[in-house]
Formats: sequence, structure tokens, C-alpha cells
Amino acid sequence: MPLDELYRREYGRILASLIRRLRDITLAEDALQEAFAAAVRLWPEQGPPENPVAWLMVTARHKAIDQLRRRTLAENKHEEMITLATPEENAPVPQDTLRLIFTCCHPSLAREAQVALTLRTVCGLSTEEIARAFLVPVPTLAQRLVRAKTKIRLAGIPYEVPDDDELPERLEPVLATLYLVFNEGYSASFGPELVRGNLCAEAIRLGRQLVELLPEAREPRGLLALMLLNDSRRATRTDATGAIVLLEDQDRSRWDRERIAEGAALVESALRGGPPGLYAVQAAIAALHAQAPTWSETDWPQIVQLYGILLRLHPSPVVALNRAAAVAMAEGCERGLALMAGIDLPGYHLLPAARADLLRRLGRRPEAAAAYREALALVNNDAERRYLEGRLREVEAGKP
Amino acid sequence: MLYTLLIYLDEKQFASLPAAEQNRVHQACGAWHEELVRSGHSRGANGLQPSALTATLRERDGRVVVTDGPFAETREILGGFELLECKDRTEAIAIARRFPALQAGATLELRPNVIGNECRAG
Amino acid sequence: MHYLLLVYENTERWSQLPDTGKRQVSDACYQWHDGLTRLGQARAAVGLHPPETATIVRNRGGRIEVVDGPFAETKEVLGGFEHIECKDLDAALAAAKTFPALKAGFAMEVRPVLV
Repeated sequence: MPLDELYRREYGRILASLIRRLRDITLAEDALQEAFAAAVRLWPEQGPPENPVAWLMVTARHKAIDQLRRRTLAENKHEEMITLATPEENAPVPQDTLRLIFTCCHPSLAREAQVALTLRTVCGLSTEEIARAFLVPVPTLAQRLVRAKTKIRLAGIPYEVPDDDELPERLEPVLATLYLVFNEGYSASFGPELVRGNLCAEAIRLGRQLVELLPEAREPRGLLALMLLNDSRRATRTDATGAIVLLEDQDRSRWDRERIAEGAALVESALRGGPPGLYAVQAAIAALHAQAPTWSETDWPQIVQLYGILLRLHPSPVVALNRAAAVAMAEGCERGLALMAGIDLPGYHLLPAARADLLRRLGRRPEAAAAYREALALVNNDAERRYLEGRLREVEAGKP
Repeated sequence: MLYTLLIYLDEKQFASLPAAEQNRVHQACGAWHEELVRSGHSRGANGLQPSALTATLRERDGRVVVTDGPFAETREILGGFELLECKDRTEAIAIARRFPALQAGATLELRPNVIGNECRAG
Repeated sequence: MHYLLLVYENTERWSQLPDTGKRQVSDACYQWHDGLTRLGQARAAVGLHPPETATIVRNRGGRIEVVDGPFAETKEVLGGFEHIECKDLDAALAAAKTFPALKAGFAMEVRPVLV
């Protein structure tokens, strides 16, 4: 296996095990970087070792011991030296990855710190890659990472998987972090590039790990299903010029059938065995869309029902807006418009955009144009702006 | 009487002082505290880690929610406290006036303690 | 690790509670403290009289002035704190989560102590 692929696959898992031994994230990161640097130097000359992962773990541990030895001269670090000197397993322990995820997503860290730290440590993304993905200056992101690691150390954030009774609550920020990473890749909230596939791939990879590590938990399966189902449409969400293609107009023959099948099976199992969770219900909606042969043949009544469940689980005007849009499809545009009139979402461009869409379908062109203009005044994303401008030109030109 | 001296400081302003000055203030505060221990006025003291290391808990809709950061988003935050046993408030104020970090911009709030199971005023 | 659990109270909500309600919350808080003592976690506990009883000592242009408090005119004020010693932040959060006055609209801030 090429070294960069090994890095991608194993970095987070090896790091997680090193952190457990060293009790120091920064020390573990430095040692593992040095080990990979040594591999880049030595493997081409000497040929790759028989067990590359074990080689990296042992080498990283030796690098850490070297560093600690230098520190020991100044401070008392005998205890750490003793722990490190004892023999140990040379393969990553899966439980350590879970420990690392829960530490990175501890609720006493800010969400942006959770996201940055998870991508840096568990996924092994570089500071530059993360900064680019979130359009943050590199020094800002580097500082964010340093602060988060300092907080983990000084505030005594543990390196442990929470107990069963704490697990559902502690899973929430973990799932929210993963979904944020996915969505950041799926639909950038600003900036020129709509789809940043790398983040989607990382979020899905992490979602798979989480499902594997917590086979009893249902919501991780719901989230993984949701990400897979959305991702199945990624290639068709924009056209060659980068313009948005609505679900309605997407080329369904290009949707990724493998992802849809995997996602749909996960939805089934996520919904079984208890009351439905937030992600499982959203995934169920995504599955109905993904499995519909055409836009008009979509099972709208069931989608309306699922949005109703979602609204009860998580009352929010955004969910109410989605439900109203589904009602428009199931029961007619007037019904949808009436529901949208009761939704208060100041500053959110998708409400006037959805209203504009229904007004356009009803042929109420001047009202539709006014609503498109309202949406345009609020939108941030270039691709969405171009879409709305196109629609506005159509209704102004009197096209149906 | 038991009093608590709450020490408030502007973390940014304090961090902007030269390192030597920060150390000098820290050492002077340490000496001030040691003196209070010797004179029998101090019943304990704690310095707090920076507010960035804080977690806050609140109850929302029947469940406890943990969030990152201090409770109050203010420029000046609690940096520590000193528990004082004094014969009266005048004595406590006299001690507070000598607190070295006042010169470096800290503010002190002196509050009487609730004793035992007494139901507090107000 | 040492932590300070800072108790912030919503004075408006507190003043609306009937006396029996205040007594109940206050008794439950003492029991909570006793529980932490039995666990060997409690190091010190301080309850403060309300902010109106506060005096401010500060430096204004080089001279020390003493004025009537409190320091910050906010609806939510520091009402006291509990100093605990425990394994890690999760143990401190677990102790904080069971603080009875959270139900009465109080908030709790968990800060690591310099040792």
C-alpha cells in the first residue's frame, strides 16, 4: 500500500492509540509525524516493513520516548517514561478511536473546535486542508487547534468512552460534528465551490467507523444513512458550469445506486427497535426521494407524514418549511403557500425562494418575482444566487 | 464574620502586560495571601484557570445542557477569590485595599458569606 | 484535578419563588453538598449573600476607591461556589449536573483551579 494511502487510512487510528499511552495529544501528534517522516526516508531504501502499522507505532513510540527524555532533563517525567517502556500491543485498538472521537467532541469544547480537532486528529487532515475547507486563515485554525488541545489538558477532559447512561447525550455533539463536516462539503454556505467532496468522504468514513464501533446505537446508523443517501446525488446537484440543478430536474440515472441501497438498508435498521431518532427520520425522507423513479412519482404523502414526525421531535421553522413544501406537492400549491404564510424565518433565503417557486407554479408571476427578489437579497452562495437570478428572469419574461 | 473577596480581571488587558510585570503581580499577590494566612485572616484561596477553559451547565426543557465557555460573556471575569475571616467589613476592606493586582487593573468585590444552613438575605 | 463550580442565580426567578420553595431548593443544595462530602469530593463550599451586600474595591487613576457594589449589574449573579476535587472534567460535570438549583433556573460554571 502506498504511504499516502496508509497515512489516510491509519493515521487517526495509530494516533488514538498513542494518545492513550502518552496522555498528551501534541506529543503523540509530533511523534507520529516524525514516524511517517522516517518512513518516507527509509522505506524506499530498505523496502517497506512486513507490518507497516506496527513499524509506525513502534517508531512513533521511540520518537516520543526521545522527546520525553529531553524533557525529563528539565522536569520530572519518570512516570510517563515507565508507562512507555512497558511492552504493549503493536496494532491500533479500535476502542481508542472511539475515545479520541468523544474527547474531540466533548460538549465543553466549542463546535468549531470540535470540528477542527476531529478532522485534524481522527481523520488526519492537515491544518492547511481544514483551513481551506472552512475558508479560515491557516494561523486562525492553527490557534484554534492549540487552544482546544490546551483546554483538553488543563480542564481535564477525559480520554474515555462515556458510560452507557451518558452515551445518548454524548453522542449528540459527535453526530452533529460529523453532519456539519458532511454538510460543509455537500453545500458550502458561501464561496465559489459548491461541492467539496473530500469533506463528504471523510464524514462518511468516520460515520462508518462510528457504526462499527457502536453497533448497538441506532442514531449513528441513521446519520450514516442520511449522508450516504444525500451523497448518492452529489454528482447531479450541479451542472457543468457549476449551476445548481434542483432535485426535480436531476438526472436520476446518474444517482449512485450502491450508496442508495446501502443507505436504504441502514434506514430500515435505524428505525427498528425504538422511537425514531432525528437522523433516522431525515434519512427515511432522503430514501423516499432516492428511490422514487421520478419527481412526480415520489411518495409525497409519506414524506409529509415523516416531516410531521420530525417536527414533533425537533420543532423548528426550517422543518416546518420543508413540510410545507412537501404538502404543496401532496395536496397542492395553495395548501403549501398557506402553511408557509405562518412560518417566521427572518433572514433565511430559502423561505421566500420556496414561496416564489409555488407562486411561479401557480402562474402568479408578479408575486413570484417579488419573492425571488426577496430571496436574492438574503442569499450568500454564488451557485444559489445564479439559480435564483435565472428564475427571476424567467418569471419577468413571462415564461410559465 | 466570613467574607469572600471575588477577584475580577480583564484577561486580555492582563495578558498584554509585559511578562516581567505579570510575574511581579503574581508574586506580590502570593505574598499578600501568605501574609493573610500568617495573620489568620485567610480561610483559603483559589486562582482559576482562564475563562476559556470553562464549561457552563444550564437546565433547558427539563434537561441539563453543557456548553463551552463562561456563563457571562463579559470583558472582566472572575479570576479567583480569597476567603477572609475578619472582625468586620472595615477590616476586610482594609485588606482588600492592599491587594497588589488592583494596580494592574483588577477589581475586587467583597461579599459576606452565608453561614451554615442560614437562609440568606433577600 | 481541582474544579470550582460557580453558581449563578437568576435573581428575578428566585425572588418569584414562594418562601417554602426557596427553603426546599436551599435544603436540597445542602444535601447535594453533603453528598459530595461523602464521596470525598467536596473541598470547600461558600454561599454568598445577595449582590446588594457587595462592596467594590478598585483602582481609579492610581488611587484605590471603595464603592457600593455589585461589580456587574446583571440579572444573573454569582451566588456561591463549591470547590471539588475529582478525577477529570466528566466527574466534575456529573457532580454539577445533579446540583438541585439548576431546576430553579440557576446556571453552573465549571472552571479548573490553578494548583
